[in-house]
Amino acid sequence: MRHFLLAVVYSLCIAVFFASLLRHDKRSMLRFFAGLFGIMVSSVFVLGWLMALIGR
Amino acid sequence: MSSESPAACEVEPTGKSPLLAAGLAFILPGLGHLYLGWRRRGVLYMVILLFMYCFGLALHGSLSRPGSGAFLATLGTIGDLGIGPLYFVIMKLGHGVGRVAAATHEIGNAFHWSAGVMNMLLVLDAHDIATGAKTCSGPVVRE
Repeated sequence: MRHFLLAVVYSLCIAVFFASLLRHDKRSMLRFFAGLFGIMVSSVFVLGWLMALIGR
Repeated sequence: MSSESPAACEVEPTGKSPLLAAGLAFILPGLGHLYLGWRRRGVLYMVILLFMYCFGLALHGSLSRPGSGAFLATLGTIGDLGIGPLYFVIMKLGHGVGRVAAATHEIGNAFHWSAGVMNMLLVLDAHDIATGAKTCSGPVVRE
């Protein structure tokens, strides 16, 4: 659970950084942030599931 | 995606020195953007990158040192050096040793390596803004 939260904090930082770096207007910035953050958190879920599978 | 054309949000050349902007961005994350008058973004970048770097060290991540020999360690060193003089300050203060046995060691490394690499992007971004080469859709390709 702790690692999941850390990975979410990491995803949040990365998504905020790249959204503000690569987009200019607020609307597209928000869309970019939501997309990148969603993809990263989904990847965390998949990786967590795979690691749990290997750990069994 | 966006209905706005790239030309609508082109950044005009600022008349400020691109090299100074890039140099300031390297010295402290976000400083180059503050120099160029991009205050909100400068502060945002500074907060995010300094948080990531310090948080990574707080999670027992260890700063890579030059000359360790291994190829991947060299990449880690390059990533860490991207944050600029802060790397040497932290080294001088004796922090950044980390604790390999800690459960959060690897994710701590991911935090501060990413912060260093992202600061390298900020250096290039500050340079592009100063020269007017930045647009919404990326750098201007001059023919």
